[in-house]
Amino acid sequence: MASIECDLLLFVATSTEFDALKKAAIDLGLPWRKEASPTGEFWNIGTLGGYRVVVVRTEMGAIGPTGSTRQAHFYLAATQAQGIVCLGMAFGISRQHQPVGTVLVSDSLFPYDVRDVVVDPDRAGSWIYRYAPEAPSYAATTYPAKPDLRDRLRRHAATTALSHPVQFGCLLTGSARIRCLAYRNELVRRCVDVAPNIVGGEMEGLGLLSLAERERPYWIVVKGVCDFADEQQIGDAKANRRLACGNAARFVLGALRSLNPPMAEV
Amino acid sequence: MKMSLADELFGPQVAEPPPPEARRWEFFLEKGVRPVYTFVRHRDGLGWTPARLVVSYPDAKPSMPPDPPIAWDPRLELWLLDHKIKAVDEKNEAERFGFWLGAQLEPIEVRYGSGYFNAVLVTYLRESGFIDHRMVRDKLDAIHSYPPSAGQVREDCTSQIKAVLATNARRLAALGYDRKAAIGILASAIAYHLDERFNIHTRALLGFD
Repeated sequence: MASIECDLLLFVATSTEFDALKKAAIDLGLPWRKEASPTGEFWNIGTLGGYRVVVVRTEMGAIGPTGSTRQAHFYLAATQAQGIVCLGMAFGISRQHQPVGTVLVSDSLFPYDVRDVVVDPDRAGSWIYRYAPEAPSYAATTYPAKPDLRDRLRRHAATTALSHPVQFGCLLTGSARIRCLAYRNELVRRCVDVAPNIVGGEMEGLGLLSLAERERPYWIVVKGVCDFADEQQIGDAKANRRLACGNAARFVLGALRSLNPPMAEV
Repeated sequence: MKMSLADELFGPQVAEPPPPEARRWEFFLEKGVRPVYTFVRHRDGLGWTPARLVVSYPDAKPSMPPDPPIAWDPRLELWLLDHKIKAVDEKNEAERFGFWLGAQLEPIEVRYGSGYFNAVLVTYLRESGFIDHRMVRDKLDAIHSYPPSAGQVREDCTSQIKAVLATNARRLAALGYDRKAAIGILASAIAYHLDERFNIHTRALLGFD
């Protein structure tokens, strides 16, 4: 079986995320070549800034036969890729400070399900959850993103006139589709002690945390804000997802292309 | 307060306290018992078990059981190397150095980006004497790369990679290996690192070329 030659994988989940990335690539004049692997199709978009880049589609979330966990393990093992950029849409945590389409870049991820759920001592029959950052084998902790990708995206954001804001910070990650303002606020309030500088949340990054030790991350998550995980989530997502996904895709491809190291392009 | 010329040139004389684990190792060294290091990390499916290290005292009298395994840590590693604590054998020494190469090369990778860094690393190794070592050659044969164009950036990146490898060669010599053995261990360490960096063994397990 011929191996897949690439240095960087771009992961997208939904059809909107996929279409937005395809459009951004074609608008930049990049190739969009469909190829096949034992677990399905992938798309080769050529060399960008010294990275040979391949696009992989996952299903939504980390779980499932083509969820981000499975696809990340397979494609990282099947290629010599050194990094994964997980693209798409995310929820923001402030309508006031995060315009729809703001691109969120994960300095780190916080898997918010790593927590203890215990009986509420003050309310019989009820429960509370809490994070235990010092737990020896199940510590609630943030996971830093891949430093070289993070630095490049930061540099691009700082030196390029963009049509949308870019915010770097911690993204909450988990499998829940949150559509409740009270829950979102409670989640952020509880997480913030362990995970300062939370800027939003998403679902696929979780699957990338199992790739390697915390100190050796392969990934970064870059997503556009399309909703705020509140009661308006469904309507917001429908109205804003193209803009959110398009901004994230253009930002990442633009950042990669702007690197232009002195390497022979193929 | 103005910094003295000595501090300006050599850095302030602040002695970093040794890691707590080192107290025990120091105790044995003072008693003339040389500890022995074992690097522990195994393949586990498509991944690896967490890296750990075990320090034992084979020459202790009365005999002592080895210390319990502890999580690998660069501070511990440096302390052990500074005190010339060798690994249990040359194969284990190569795994020890191979694992640490990733962390040592990371700042260069961050500076140049992993795609470009990989191209420079592979090109340098193919052009260096390491290609004469079968383990390195076999790994390089399994890597699909393309050459970075010549220029100052490539030269700078290459010289930083060479500096890391030279530091490790000197560390191996300081452990007491002769030059031939040190180069052999370093070549095996590079092969270990290349295998992991480019998922060579895992790709083969999955049936890829």
